[in-house]
Amino acid sequence: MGDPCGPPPQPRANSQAVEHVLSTFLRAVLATAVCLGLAGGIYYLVQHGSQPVPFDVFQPLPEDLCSPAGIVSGALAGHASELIQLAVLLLLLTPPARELLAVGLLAQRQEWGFVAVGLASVLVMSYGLLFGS
Amino acid sequence: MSTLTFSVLLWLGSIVAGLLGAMTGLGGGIVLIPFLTLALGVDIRYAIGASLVSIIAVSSGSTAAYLRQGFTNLRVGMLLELATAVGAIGGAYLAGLFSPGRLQVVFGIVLLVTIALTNRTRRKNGGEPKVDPLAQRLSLASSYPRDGVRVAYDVHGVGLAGSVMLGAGALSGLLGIGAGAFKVLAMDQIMKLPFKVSTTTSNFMMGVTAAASAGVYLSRGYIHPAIAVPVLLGTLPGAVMGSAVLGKVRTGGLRLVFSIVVTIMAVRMIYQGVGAGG
Repeated sequence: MGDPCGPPPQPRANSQAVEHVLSTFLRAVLATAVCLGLAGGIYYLVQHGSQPVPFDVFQPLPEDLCSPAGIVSGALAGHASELIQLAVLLLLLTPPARELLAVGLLAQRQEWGFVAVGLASVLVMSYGLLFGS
Repeated sequence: MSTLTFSVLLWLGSIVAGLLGAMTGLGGGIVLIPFLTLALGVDIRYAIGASLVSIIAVSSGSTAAYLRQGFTNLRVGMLLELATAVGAIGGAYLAGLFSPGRLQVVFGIVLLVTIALTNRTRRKNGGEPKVDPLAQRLSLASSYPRDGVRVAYDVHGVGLAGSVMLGAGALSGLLGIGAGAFKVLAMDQIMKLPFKVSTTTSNFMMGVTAAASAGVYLSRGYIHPAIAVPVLLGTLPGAVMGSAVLGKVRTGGLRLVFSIVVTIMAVRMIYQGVGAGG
């Protein structure tokens, strides 16, 4: 391994800027998801807080709450459940977005091997979201 | 039980799950799923969907901190998360073929294995392993902060670790857990990464693994908004608190109590799953 306390290898130095950008991005998206979830959650409890919970038996949710298009249109119409699902969707999109951001930054450094790996991961995650049903 | 009472109980339970998950490095899923199914009587399919939401929240939150601190090996994480994501999609499809009772039995067994792995003896420093040409070619070697200086380390066994990650991803997709114990095991034992680098890189990968299968679960209607929102709003502050106190408390005793509690939950889940026809 060489001198264990020697100067860090070059890839580490290259990664630091990427890591800083990714970290800031993650904090911003997470804060947005929490705010959306909080607003939707309070609104949902105002509407359904006194109703009994039906979660002992599984019943698939309506299509509007399962597809990105249905969630976005419902949230824009101000529906509480869709607002919460939008927060969930935003959270689900954080890892692929983080990966795309990393891919962009690594492409600037011409690290094409990792660009290909990152793009493949994004494709796999997108497949689950778009064709999962 | 009213939705309001359920939400408050789940929110409190999620804070505890996030706290314990962050402090023990196992994520919140292995506490959250038994809590939802055993204490609140929620169908395990809803519980799995909610757990994936908590995993992504905790992974994104803690990764933001760990990336700044320079522990996470970004390249190793990006490489291995491709394998875990593929495994997770496969696991999520498999989940559709399992009855709820059988899922509970499998979950209980995986919990027991997870606890066994967590309490194993750490690897001893043996001779220097052979240099991995693939790791060299991909420049995976890096450094991490220790006592104010950056300490360099090499990476080994990339191919074998990738295979283990495929399996860990499949478990994550099937059961809605982070499978962190398996990921850390592969990085610690096979790749010979420093332990702190293994745990933080595992955390980094968990978000991608969970996102791959969560898309499938969302599309199938397993992620219910009334369950997802208390989980999201509870796990995150719990994990932040857990990360903050991690360096200030001795976790040995906590880990022992946690192991006993999780073992009891695992046995109960197996018992309940067998009773339900698993």
